[in-house]
Parts: sequence; C-alpha cells; structure tokens
Amino acid sequence: MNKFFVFLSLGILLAQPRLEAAESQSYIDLMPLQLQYRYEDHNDQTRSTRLYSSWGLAYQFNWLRLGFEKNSYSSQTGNASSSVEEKISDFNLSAGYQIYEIHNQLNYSLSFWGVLGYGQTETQVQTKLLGVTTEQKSNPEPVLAYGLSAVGRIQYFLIELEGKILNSQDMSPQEVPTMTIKIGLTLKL
Amino acid sequence: MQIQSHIIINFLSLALIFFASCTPRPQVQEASGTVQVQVADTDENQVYQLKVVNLEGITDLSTVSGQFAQFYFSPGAQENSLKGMAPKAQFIRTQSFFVPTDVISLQMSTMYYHLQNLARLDQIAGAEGVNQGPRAVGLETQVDDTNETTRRNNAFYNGQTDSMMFVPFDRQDLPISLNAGIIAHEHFHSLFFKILLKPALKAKKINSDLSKFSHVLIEPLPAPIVLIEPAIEPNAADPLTAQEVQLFNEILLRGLNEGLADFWAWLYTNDNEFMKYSLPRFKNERSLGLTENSKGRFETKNFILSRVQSAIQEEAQPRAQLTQYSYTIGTAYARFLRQWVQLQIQSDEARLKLSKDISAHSISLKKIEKENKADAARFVVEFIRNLYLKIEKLESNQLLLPEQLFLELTEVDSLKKFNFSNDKSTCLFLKSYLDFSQKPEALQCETVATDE
Repeated sequence: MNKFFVFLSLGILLAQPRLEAAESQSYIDLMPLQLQYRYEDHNDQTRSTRLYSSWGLAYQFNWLRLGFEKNSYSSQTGNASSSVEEKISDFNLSAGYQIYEIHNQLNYSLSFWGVLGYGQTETQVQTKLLGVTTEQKSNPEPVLAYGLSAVGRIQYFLIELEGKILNSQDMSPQEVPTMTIKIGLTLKL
Repeated sequence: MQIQSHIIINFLSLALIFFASCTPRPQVQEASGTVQVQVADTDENQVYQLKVVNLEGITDLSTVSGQFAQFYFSPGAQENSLKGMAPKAQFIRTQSFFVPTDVISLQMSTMYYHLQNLARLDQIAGAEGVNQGPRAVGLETQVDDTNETTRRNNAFYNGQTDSMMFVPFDRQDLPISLNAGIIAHEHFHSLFFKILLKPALKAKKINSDLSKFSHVLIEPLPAPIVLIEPAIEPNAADPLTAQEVQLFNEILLRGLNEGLADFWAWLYTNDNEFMKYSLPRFKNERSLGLTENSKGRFETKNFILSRVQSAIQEEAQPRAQLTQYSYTIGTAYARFLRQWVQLQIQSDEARLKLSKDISAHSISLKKIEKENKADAARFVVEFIRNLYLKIEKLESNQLLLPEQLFLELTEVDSLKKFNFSNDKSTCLFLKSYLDFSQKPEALQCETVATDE
C-alpha cells in the first residue's frame, strides 16, 4: 500500500499547474453534511465499511485548497452485564492541489484535486462491567491522509467526492481506505 | 506567489514520501512478552471489576496469543486439533497499558489472564506438564447439536481436540467467557481427561463414549437439594449386567469430574456461587455452600445403581438422562471438599492462636488459606492419579466406589502428605460421610484429640 502513496505523491510532485493565473479565484466551502465510509476492521470480526459522521470546511485559493474535517464514530458491543463502547474521533488538516478543472462561465465548475492531509485520532473506551463503568482514553496518534477528490460547484452549492487512504498506528488495518461524500455551501470571494 | 505555492506543494509531496515509508507499525502488533492489559476479574470480595494485569508470554497481542492461550473464532475440528482463524483483538493504548475496545477482545484478554493463573495453580497442585503449550480456546463455537442448552450459553472441554470451547452467549448476564470460575471449571476437565480418562481409554478400561465427554455445563434435571436414599433398593441378588456396570462407573466418573471441577473453580475464585453471575438459575443447585441438611450426604452406590437401573428400564437413551444426573453426584463432592478446606483453615487458625511462638502469630490468615488451598489442590490431583490406578486394576464386572474420595482421607499417610489436620471436628465431618455410605468402621474419631 505504501508504494501506492509513493506513486501518488510522485504524480502530484511532477504534475504541472493547470490553471493559468489569469484571474485569481478564491472560495470558502462549508460542508456540514459529510458521509464518510471507512473500510476497516469491525468488532464483529469482519472487515467492512463503517459510516463516520463528519463535517468540514475548506478555503480555496486558485489551485491550492486547504481543508479541515472532523470525524467521529461510536459503536457498542456486549450485553446488559458487560459492554464496551468505543468512541473514535479524529480531525484532519489537508492541502489540495488542483490537477484539472472544467470551468464554465455560467457559475458551475468541476475540479479534480490531489490531497495530502495530516491529523490526529483519539479513541475513548467506556467499559461497563456489572453496573460499574470505567473510561479510558487512548494516546492521540497522528494520521496521514493521501487521496484524490472531485469538487463540483453550482452557484452556491457544492458537492464533493473524496477517496482517501488514512494511515495511522491506531487504525486497524493501519491503512484504511475511505470514501467521503460532502455536501455544502460555497462562497466565492 | 505561484512559485512559493509550488515550493509548498513539492515540500508536502516529499514529506508524504517520507512518512509513507517510515510510518511505524501499530503498537498492538509491536507488543510482546509481558504486556499490561485491562481485563475483568474479581476482587478479594468476589466482586467483578476491571483491572490492569500483566499478560505474560504474549507473542501477538492482536490475536492475544502466546505461551498460555491460542484463540480460534467459530472454529471447526480437524483430526485432533481446532482449525479456524484467530479472532482479531482490538485495543487502544493509554499511557501505560492496553484497553480492549470490544467485548471479544475483553474476553480474550481475560481468558488469557485466567489460563496463565490456572497454569500456575497446576504447578502448585503437582500437575505441571499435564497441559503443554498454549491452551486452545474456541470462541463463538457453533455446535452441531439439537439441544439448545448445548448450542447456547455454555462451555465445554473437548478431549479429542484438547480445547476449551465457548458457544454463543445470548443472555443478559455475565458472559461465561468472562466468568473466572467457569473458566477454571473447564480448565480442570483437561487435567481429569489427561490424568485419568485418556490413559484409561488407552488401556481399554473405559469405552470411547466416556472419552468423548464434552463436559458441558448442562442443565441438570430438578434434583433435591437434600439427598435421600432411594425408595427402591437395587436388586442386589442378581448379578449386575455389563450395561449396568458400565453406566454406573461412567456416571460416577462424570460426577467426580464435574464435582472436582466445581471445587477447582472454588479454589481459584474463592466463590461458592461462581456460576450465579452467568447462569443465576444454578445458584442454589451448584452452590458449594454446605447446608446442615446436606452435610454427610452424597450419592451412594445404592442410589446411583437405582438411578442407572431405572434409566435403563425407562429411558430410550439412558446415558443422556444419567449425564444430567452426574451434576447431582458431583456437587456433593465439591461441597465436601470446600468444607474440608474450611475446617483445615479453622484448625490452623485455632492452633496458631494457642501457639506460644510469637513468630507464628505473624502468619496471616491469607497465608493459611493459601497454603490449605494448595494442599487441597495437590490432594485432588493425587486422588485422580490414584483413581486411575484403581481403574487400571478394575475387573469388567466391578463397580467403582462412590466413597473412594472419603476413604482416601482416612489414611494417615494421606493426611500427613497433604498437611491435613486430624482434629475431632474434621474427623467427625469425614465420618459423617462414611457413616452415610454404611462404612462406619472405616474411621474412628473417639481417640482423636478434641479441638481444644
């Protein structure tokens, strides 16, 4: 999997900027509704997709897009006498580099981005045993993210589809493929 | 501006290449040897709680495997071993220890811890080396059995694959796989199997049905708490049939296996009612507390024979019927042994109080308890070994003695070997069982010194 990241990074590194800076463009994107699917180990002993609730925002200046997102997930296993609740929360700061853009003067655009990210993940575990609850928190662990995204804008509305690989010591597997659908508002500055 | 941005992008890309090739392996995969993990266990007052313990000899924490246990998820059996994938355990790492993030991982860690402790108890009991290598444990085992009590909320030891198996638990009580007493109970079956049943099978002294014991914690038929002599005496005039002898010995051995396993669970947990957390309905039936009414009572030869004969006459499958009865037989032995240890502790305490040696006073009650339990564990292992020697010499028409356990304790050498005291209260307690089996001559307590 690491080889994939290396190739992806090299691709981004070697790509030339597509946008001629004839006219500078900047946007603020607010994405309160994000559905993030992660393909990772599940507590039922399968590896399957888990849906994280998520929100994010981004600022685009020409071919550079800076983003922030916050994700969380919670699950519970067990019965009335013994149960374990796991609450995962992480954030990610990302820098996107525009690879290609289809732009129309009639207020719609579709752009493709290479994305790099860095963040932190933390898990809180609440264990209940015969009525007594104990809570523990993990050490925050860094998360690296690499991927591609497609951003569509129609007037004030935005829809984004992002495919990313997250890499962290605290994730299982260590490299987790994700797919995120983001819906929000965009404001041209 | 654009040049500066390109520099940033190029820098980020190089950083990505660096990180992608250098990301450290997950801490769970790195953990080995002695690892601190949060597990479920009882405290001194037999209250279940979470505590951080050392799991030793861990080779792979992501499957909680190591020197003491190897887990299988929903396993199958192939020839003489379990086959299947290892369940994947999930943990978070806090400052200094790992915390399971789901119930399966909590169960695996807890079981590993108990199996580690039980291996130590084997060592103390003189059964070191009987179990070798990591113990195979099946979780969420699917049992091909029409009986619902076998397929759900149960645990058993399987001699053929030398594995402990836990079937799905769908009750709202403490899962069996977190119950320290039940884990100890199942663990004991592996000792009984390897010391007695396996060699007896090899010597063709028992049949293969007996060796296939699954030792399930099955639901016993409603049984009276106070045992009474059967109303109908077995027909002693006629010689017993081969089936009667076989079933008698089989059911007695099963009973001993279950009773001694319950006693082993008590030795490990110090809890008379260790089953109540997971299977509360068995609280009274399997309690190791000895009531005044059940003192001196056990299933004698006549009683067992009568049950065997009526099962043969009335039941299409007498063995299945009698298997449930074996728990009634066993509980009486478990209660006797627990009370025996309590009397030994009381006797040692009394002696200590009277002792003029001041240094003796510093011996704590805890130590006395620990030593007496260790002696009892050694006695149980020795008893099984001796029982096998008796089985080896048993003729095909001979019955095993249900009072054998009590008779062993009448021997002076035995008492000395296991540091058992022989004061009057202990002697009278033992005698009450021998009197019940109509062997009052086996023990005289009149000459024994009084407690004072």
